[in-house]
Amino acid sequence: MTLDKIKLNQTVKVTKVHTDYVPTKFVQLGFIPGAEIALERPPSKNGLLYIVLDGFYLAITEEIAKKIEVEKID
Amino acid sequence: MKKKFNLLLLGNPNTGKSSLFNKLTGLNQKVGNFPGVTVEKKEGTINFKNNYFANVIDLPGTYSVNSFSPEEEVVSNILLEKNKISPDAALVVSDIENLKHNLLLFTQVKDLGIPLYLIINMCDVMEKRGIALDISTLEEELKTKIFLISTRNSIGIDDLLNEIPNIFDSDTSAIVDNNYMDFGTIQKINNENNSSLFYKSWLLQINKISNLEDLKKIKHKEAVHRYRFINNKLNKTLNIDRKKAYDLRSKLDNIFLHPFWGTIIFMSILALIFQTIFTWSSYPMDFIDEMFSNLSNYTKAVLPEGVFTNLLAEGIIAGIGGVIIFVPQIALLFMFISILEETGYMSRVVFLFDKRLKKYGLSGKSIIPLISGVACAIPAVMSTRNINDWKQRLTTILIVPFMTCSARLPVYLILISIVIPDNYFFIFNYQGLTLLGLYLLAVLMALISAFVFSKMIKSNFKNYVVIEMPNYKVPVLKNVLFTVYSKTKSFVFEAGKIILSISILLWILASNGPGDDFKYAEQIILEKYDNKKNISELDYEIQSYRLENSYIGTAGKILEPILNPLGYDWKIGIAIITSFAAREVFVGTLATIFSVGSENVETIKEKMSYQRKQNGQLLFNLPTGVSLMVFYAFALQCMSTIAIVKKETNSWKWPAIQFTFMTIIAYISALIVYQTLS
Repeated sequence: MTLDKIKLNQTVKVTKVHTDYVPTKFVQLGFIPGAEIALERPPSKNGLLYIVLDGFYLAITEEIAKKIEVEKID
Repeated sequence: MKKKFNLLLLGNPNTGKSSLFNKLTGLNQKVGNFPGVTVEKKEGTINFKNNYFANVIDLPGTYSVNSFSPEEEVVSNILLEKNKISPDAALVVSDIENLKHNLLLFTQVKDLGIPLYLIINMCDVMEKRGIALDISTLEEELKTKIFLISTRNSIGIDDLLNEIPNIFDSDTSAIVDNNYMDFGTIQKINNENNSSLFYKSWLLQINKISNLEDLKKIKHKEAVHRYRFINNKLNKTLNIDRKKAYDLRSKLDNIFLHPFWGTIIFMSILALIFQTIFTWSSYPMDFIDEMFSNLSNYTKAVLPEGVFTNLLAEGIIAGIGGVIIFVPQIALLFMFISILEETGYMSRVVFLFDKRLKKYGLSGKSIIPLISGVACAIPAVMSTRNINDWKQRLTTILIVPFMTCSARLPVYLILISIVIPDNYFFIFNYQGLTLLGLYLLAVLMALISAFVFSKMIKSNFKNYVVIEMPNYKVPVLKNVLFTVYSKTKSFVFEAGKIILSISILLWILASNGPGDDFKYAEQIILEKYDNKKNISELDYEIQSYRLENSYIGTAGKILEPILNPLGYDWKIGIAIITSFAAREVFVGTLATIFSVGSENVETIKEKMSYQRKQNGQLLFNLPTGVSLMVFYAFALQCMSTIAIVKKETNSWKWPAIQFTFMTIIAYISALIVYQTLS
């Protein structure tokens, strides 16, 4: 699944970052395979996802989230 | 160790880098721009024993040495020695809560072979967040001395200060292996036998790659490799027990990020800021105004009459007063902005408003300058410094002067009272509706212009929406005061010079004239009225006649053919020129031209109401009045705004474009209004 499908109280692990679409800045922020991501707040109507990336709180667009593949962590 | 060395302060945004800078340098700091760009440069000094001293440079926050913005490009150029500032030593500042992400930049700077210390800030929250760090092991793993500090509680600052002179004894060898680099590039640079210079050579090599996709893949590979290294080191040394962690983030976010309540709260905060800038600052501003007016009068009274005294009293002192008068507004606005930034609330504002403003090419942070612009464009333009993306920042700067500032009010009020009937449409007064319409018109034009500018301005840097959401914190008073001090100082000493120069120029043009009419104004008026008026009335007639025949008056007459299609005559032309000093001067100038003895609005209004054009029509009729209001709504009639835009964009190009654009919009709109209504 892709990151934009993440649900509240769910933690996922990045499996693949589509480097053709995802800017280098995101990789340098830590969006790399193996990084753990949780959704901090329910998705808002403004198209932003408020997430926690390995303890780092940030908001990214759903557009970018669609280019990051993740898998659920049990 | 050099007698004087550059000490770079590096780090990701929101790590407390600037707070550390303030702690290290105190008031020994100056603010400017890096050469050729509008990136703020903060420098300060630390004096050590035996006349050694460090020139501390607070570099813009960056996530890596690869540049994605003008700010990051400055950092990258300094580190790769493409800039005149030599990177002698560095303090890489990180935040204990985001250590993993902050270490990416650290490993890159470390591999460049620059003597450095790793500073881990906010150590005071470790227990509260359930964080444990094995410092000595991490020091060994990273081959770097680490300082745990808290800029908030002044923990560890003295130890750091004592150790800075020993920074040149640091191990400068690289810590991350070169496995991510491709063989071809390694071969090209393998003549470099120093491993710490190898990374620098590699960066310089890859920056020559013209295929952006290839470059992107290389940078991705590097970042992934470095994160693996960091994960490996932190797995051994960092332990975070999230169960022990407690903070108010979620609870406060529920309130501040709520689509409805969050907006209401933000609007209330803005109302408070607006109220403060608009009304509270009027007391110190009135005081400053009166003080400079008294000083001007005193100067005239004690010095012998003459050109020099007039220049000093009416040009220089009034000009300095025209700069200082903005200080209360600037100080108050930056106090609030600094508090909003310090608390972490500003990121929530961006989250709330980014999408709404993005369609016009603006940032969520543009909301602060836009609303502040309703009070005054000067502090509003300065407050755009908080917008990280250059294109969005420039667009905001260019449209802020469209917002209806308080200086437009006297112009609107007097014109509305003359040309708009005091009647009602249901419960709505026409005059009130006109004023409201002018405010809304300004907002509409600002948004349209933002859209136009955002399409026109080209940027080499792409902006991706990534909003860091820092924890909520209680603001540190000292940091707030530092911001207020540095912003005010930079306004007074940089924009102030331009404002003062233009003030003096306007004074010279209004106090001198080309012919005998100006020179013998007193004689001509005395002969004309032949004692039929009292001394006071004669004095105003002389002033009016002088102004009419001054260089500014002559310019007003030269402009008349251009202004006629808008319904204006040369008198309005003069008022338009003089009000370039400040829009409110429009009323005062008309008072002088119409020989009114005071700036009492009712008296001026009465005089203006009776003025007629050469064809016998009322000068201030509905078409002319509305046309004039529309002209003032859109024209950039403010030298201080031009000065501050020059300062903030570090060039005359943008204020020139802005002035031309707004003047054309103002002229065409005023022309359409006049021609339609008449």
